[in-house]
Amino acid sequence: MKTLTVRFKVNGQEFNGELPTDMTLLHCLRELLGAVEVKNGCEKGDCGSCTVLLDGLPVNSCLVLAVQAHGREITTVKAMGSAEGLHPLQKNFIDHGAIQCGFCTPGMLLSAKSLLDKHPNPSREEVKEQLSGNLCRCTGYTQIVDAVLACASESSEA
Amino acid sequence: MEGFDFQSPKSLTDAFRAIAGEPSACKLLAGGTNVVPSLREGSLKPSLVVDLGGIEELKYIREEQGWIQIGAMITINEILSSSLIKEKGGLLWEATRTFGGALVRNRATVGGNLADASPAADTAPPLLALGAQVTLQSSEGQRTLPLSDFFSGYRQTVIKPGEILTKVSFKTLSGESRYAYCKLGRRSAMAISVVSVAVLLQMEGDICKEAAIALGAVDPTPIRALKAEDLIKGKKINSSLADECGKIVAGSVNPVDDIRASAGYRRTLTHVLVSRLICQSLDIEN
Repeated sequence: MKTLTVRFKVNGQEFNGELPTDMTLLHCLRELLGAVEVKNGCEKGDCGSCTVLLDGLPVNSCLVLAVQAHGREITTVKAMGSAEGLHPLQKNFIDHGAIQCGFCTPGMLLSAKSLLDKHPNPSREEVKEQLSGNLCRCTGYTQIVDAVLACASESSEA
Repeated sequence: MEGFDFQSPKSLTDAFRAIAGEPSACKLLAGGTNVVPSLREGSLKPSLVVDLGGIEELKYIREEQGWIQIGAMITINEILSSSLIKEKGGLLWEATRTFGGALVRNRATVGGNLADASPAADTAPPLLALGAQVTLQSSEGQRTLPLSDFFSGYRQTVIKPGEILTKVSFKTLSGESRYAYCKLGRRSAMAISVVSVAVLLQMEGDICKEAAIALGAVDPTPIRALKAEDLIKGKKINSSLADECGKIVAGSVNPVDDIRASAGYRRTLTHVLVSRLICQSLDIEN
């Protein structure tokens, strides 16, 4: 096994250690760092359940080698909010029934967050487009898109 | 697994130095959307992986003397966000809209998509129709060749060990350019195309001066449909000529049966889409 010394931040916390070169960022986050909020679905970049923000950009963590994250900042859904202080998107997901089994939810939330951070008032089409890499097998997507749009209109009223 | 050495050079010079030792045992990593799963599954077993992601000199989109130049490490999302590409390379821009999904577009690069050489590579048909050129560089020098000479077989290119695809370039589209693109997949996002077609026509009044028709997923490599192009060059195009064109292309392609579609369906689609896109690009009834 070949390893490299790698340093990056996960939700603001510094990681510094030896990692196998062939380990994906997904495996590193889940198995070494206990970030099990990052879900492992297809491991081929098809499903989006392993979405994280890499320097603010949503990516499939199964398509990134952990050693490629050297010097970068990773954000998981954990940094979005907590049970006591939900992110407005999280609250809207709950209110609109946008969560059923919940497996896609961390990825959906991060993709939606990155959209609203850039475009606070997206059209329905733009929301669907931005979530196109995140699959949900439960909800049929309607409630998810509704939740994102509701969150956008709330924040534009505020 | 034995594992591999990993290097992340910050310049092309350093990248050439990194791959110099044993270039044929080295795998170049661009966006990783295909290579990383292959490394994980073990279907790729290089002794060295060289990540091109840190090489800033491969990340640019610019216009120079009537040509659009795109650095190989530009991501699909960067193309989609580029007003220059939208305005002067609209055919490529159209195709990036249906490339993968939003997440994949943040990683996948134009250089990686071409070097991967899938018959269904989404940037290939528009770039072939645009008459794009690719630049391959090595520590010895560089060569530039038409994209149509770049694909040498199923998932194969003319890139030699030690060479890196560094640039894609094509002439800017003019006001006389008419174009249309269609990717038909099983669904609208995250699909590998069943058939994709790009059509680019240069018009002089009613007459088609130049024609380029390119297809993906119907042959071992992305292809240009030269015979059909010759048929419409110098002519006034109507729907029956467009249909004839579609028929000729459908008769010359070599599609496969696979999980996404049968060869017969792909052939029929080729006929329909070529004809439809010629009409669509000229705003005539199909």
